[in-house]
Amino acid sequence: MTKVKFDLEDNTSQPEVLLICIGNDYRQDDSAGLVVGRHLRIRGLKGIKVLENSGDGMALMDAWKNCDTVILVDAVQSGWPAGTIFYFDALKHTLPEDMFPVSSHNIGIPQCITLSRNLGLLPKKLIFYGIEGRNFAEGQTLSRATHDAANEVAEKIAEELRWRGF
Amino acid sequence: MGLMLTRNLSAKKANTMKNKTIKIDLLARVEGEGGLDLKISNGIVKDVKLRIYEPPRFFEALLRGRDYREAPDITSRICGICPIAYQLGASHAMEEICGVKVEGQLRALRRLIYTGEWIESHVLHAFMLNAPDFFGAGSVIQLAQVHPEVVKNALRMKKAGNDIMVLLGGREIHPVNLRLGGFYKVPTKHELRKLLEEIKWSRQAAVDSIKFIAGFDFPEFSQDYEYLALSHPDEYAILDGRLVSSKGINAAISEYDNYLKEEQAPHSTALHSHLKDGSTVLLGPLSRFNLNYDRLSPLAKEAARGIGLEGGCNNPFKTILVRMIEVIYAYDEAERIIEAYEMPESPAVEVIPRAGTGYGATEAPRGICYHRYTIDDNGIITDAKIVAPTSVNQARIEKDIWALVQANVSLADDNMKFLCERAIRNYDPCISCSTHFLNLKIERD
Repeated sequence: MTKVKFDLEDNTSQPEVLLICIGNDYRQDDSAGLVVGRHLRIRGLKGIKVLENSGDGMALMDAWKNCDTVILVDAVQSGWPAGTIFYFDALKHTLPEDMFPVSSHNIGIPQCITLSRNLGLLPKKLIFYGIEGRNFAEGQTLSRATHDAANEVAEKIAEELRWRGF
Repeated sequence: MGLMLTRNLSAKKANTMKNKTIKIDLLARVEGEGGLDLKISNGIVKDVKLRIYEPPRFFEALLRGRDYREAPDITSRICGICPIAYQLGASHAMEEICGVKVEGQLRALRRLIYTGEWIESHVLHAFMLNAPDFFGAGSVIQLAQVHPEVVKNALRMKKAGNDIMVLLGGREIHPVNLRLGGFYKVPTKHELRKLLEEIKWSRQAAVDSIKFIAGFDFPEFSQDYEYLALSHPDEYAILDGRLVSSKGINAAISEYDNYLKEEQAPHSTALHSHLKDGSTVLLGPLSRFNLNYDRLSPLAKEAARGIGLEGGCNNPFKTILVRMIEVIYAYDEAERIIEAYEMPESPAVEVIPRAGTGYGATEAPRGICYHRYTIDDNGIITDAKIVAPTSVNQARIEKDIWALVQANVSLADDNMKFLCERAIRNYDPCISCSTHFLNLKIERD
């Protein structure tokens, strides 16, 4: 039985920290961001909202426009070894566009950040974690290195949040 | 470059294998790639090839042997922008085979979620992909620097469509709540009415934005098009209707294969579809608008009149205006359905399998999306055929470009490339409609 959520997102009460996990469950390492989110969701940290996104940049902008702190996690393809973890303060540094497979219809993450900046829709703090993937073909199994890195990113985020009192 | 890099243990291990070749078979979240080859000899256009080299995905073969109830969900994966077109086309065909007609509030909800898809798709294309062309901007990012309020409003307009998709479909991309016979769960009246405020705001924003778009500088261009769209006697056709063309076709959906055929083109991995006599037809907003204008809502007609399109539109560069008229109509229709909504007793009618062949066609944002299935008594799919609107429009796009290039043959290559890209974007083709998808190759003798 398909489980369907009928409540619209309530944007009037934003969480203190919004964790946006991007990926596709059916593209192997592309699901690394989703793994991070699910890892953290089960810990039930208060004040944190975990949102899964398939890479629709415009949906991202809408999700983060009134937020204080946003953490983005996504799989990347930069040419570094699988499992490499990238960390950016996305308000201070530009994300390299060539790290991201480009979607032809949608606006990718780097473009979405630039567009949000131009429109004054950025959150106060925007952190990006990229996890290098190896295999983005059809399938539901992550490569070992990418899966380990996803767990490591989840630990890093949990540690950061604990340090901030969540 | 402001990059802080950390590596975990696994990454260090991988680093020791520097000579290993990493092959990426398929890029994630890529919806297609295309290119264009032009051949010009002594100022005469000799050849135009719109190349589509996205790997074929064999959906029809994938469907054979699967249960009839799986068709809507499997086919919805064909497109992340217009999954409803596939879900409902497949559903209609299966329901026809099984002798079921979904009517009343369930049909209305299907129409409502389709308006959400039109809004999402049309607003995305009009403002994010097409409008930058008229400002010489490379993307919506540059457009946002000049007209931030226009882009902000567009995002909010699109969100109203997303909200409809999420409420009825469970999520905006590849909805999971549709099934043969209806839905898994239907919303309450109260849940639906929560959408109204944003729908009304967005409709006014769409009306205002049409005036802004009408001020763009449109190239003068037209061809002798044969417009083909679904036509319904009582409503602006979205879910169903007869196949009607501006040059005389008037047929049931079940007769689709008598009129259109698909052929392989060596330069394209997508099948080319055209009329059996070899001529091309145009699908999508222009066709719907020109053939079904009288069934638009009063406000949509008023918007058309206000920008001088009351008598129809034959300039494909003005399709952006027609898309926005359809967006106004979609908001109107969404409001009408929500205001009249009564929660049905059951979220779906039962669809029991029986052997046969059925047909379904709906108006996807880019035009008619056709489905034909055959199933056996156990509901196992034995044959499937799906024709996406871009398959039909490909040949039409090539003809537009041929005429445009010939009329502007002395343009420098960069300007020629820009003109061709714009001509392709008029169709919002679902192959690779990013703003920089086109690799143009020009051969001049």
